[in-house]
Amino acid sequence: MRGEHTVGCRPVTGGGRTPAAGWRTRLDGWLRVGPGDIGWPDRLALIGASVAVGITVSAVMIDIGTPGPVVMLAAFAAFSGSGELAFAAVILGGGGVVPAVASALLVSARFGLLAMSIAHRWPMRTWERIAAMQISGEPAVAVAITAPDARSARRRYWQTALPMGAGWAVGSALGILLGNVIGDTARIGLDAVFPAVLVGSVIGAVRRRDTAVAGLGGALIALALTPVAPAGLPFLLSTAAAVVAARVAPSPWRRREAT
Amino acid sequence: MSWLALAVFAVGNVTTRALGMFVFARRVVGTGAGARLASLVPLSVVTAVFAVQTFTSRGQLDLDPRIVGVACAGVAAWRGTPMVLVVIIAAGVTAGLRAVGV
Repeated sequence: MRGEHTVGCRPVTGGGRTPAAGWRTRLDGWLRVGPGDIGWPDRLALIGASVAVGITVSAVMIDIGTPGPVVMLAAFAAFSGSGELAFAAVILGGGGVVPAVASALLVSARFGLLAMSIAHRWPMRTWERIAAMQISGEPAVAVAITAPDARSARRRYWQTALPMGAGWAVGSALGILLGNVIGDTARIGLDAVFPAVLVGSVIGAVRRRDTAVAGLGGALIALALTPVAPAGLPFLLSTAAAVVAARVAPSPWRRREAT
Repeated sequence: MSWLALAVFAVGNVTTRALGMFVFARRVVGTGAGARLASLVPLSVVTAVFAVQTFTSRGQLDLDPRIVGVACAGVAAWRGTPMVLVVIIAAGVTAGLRAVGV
């Protein structure tokens, strides 16, 4: 019911902190789907993709000799599949534990940037901030950033993050208990699934000049640096594109066509 | 991963996220210009992760059928296809191309 909201949508146009007073602590029934929400078919897709990622990451971690409980705790404490894979990659390459953990932390450092970006997107109490920072992943942050107002940013964020978190937890547990039940993930195209989720969540950004510069620039910087820089560093340095994009007008490409 | 490695990984990770949410968010993006930057930074990071996962394997450029699958997914997403189908298209095209030996 749209009408039950006591507080209207507050568009976030400028900066500054929006007062949290009046915002409900509950998510206004995130299970229900309204206009502009992430619907159930999409949530199921996010769950499925995350289960697949969880299974493969856990299976890799078990393969390198990690005890099951450690893998499960790592899944929740770090919430970073790419970080775990970076750890495993260094170990499999004959590296020590210290460079492996350093690589995992570097690969996961981008989550700090993502958490920073949503900090002022909608008013949050402390508990929600902690939950949002811990679960923050690329797709959820992308849909929150591109949402038209603060309320829908919050709804879309959790509607994306919760299914992915649940799928990740279930997938991680399955990978520990059953091993790699999926088998060769590349053979069934699962390595294309997470990139597809990412492209689906940011594709709208190419319509505007500044967001297109931020997105395309970030991709090019990361590609250029990946062969030469340690894994994870290209993600952090890609933000240079955002700094440049902040100087570009936030207008659509074909503005004059509308006349 | 040992228990000690897990502890360092977990604490380091939570610290990074908390720094972003509670420290940098206030210092860096608490202003008008900063808020704009905060809405652009995730786009750069997301597309960086996207590019690395689409075009590279183990730190090297790697052009394989995955790119075609993701490209089809991108076109589908551009045309407003629901996420479910976008994901299925990506996996299906990639798996199909690999099945025929591309």
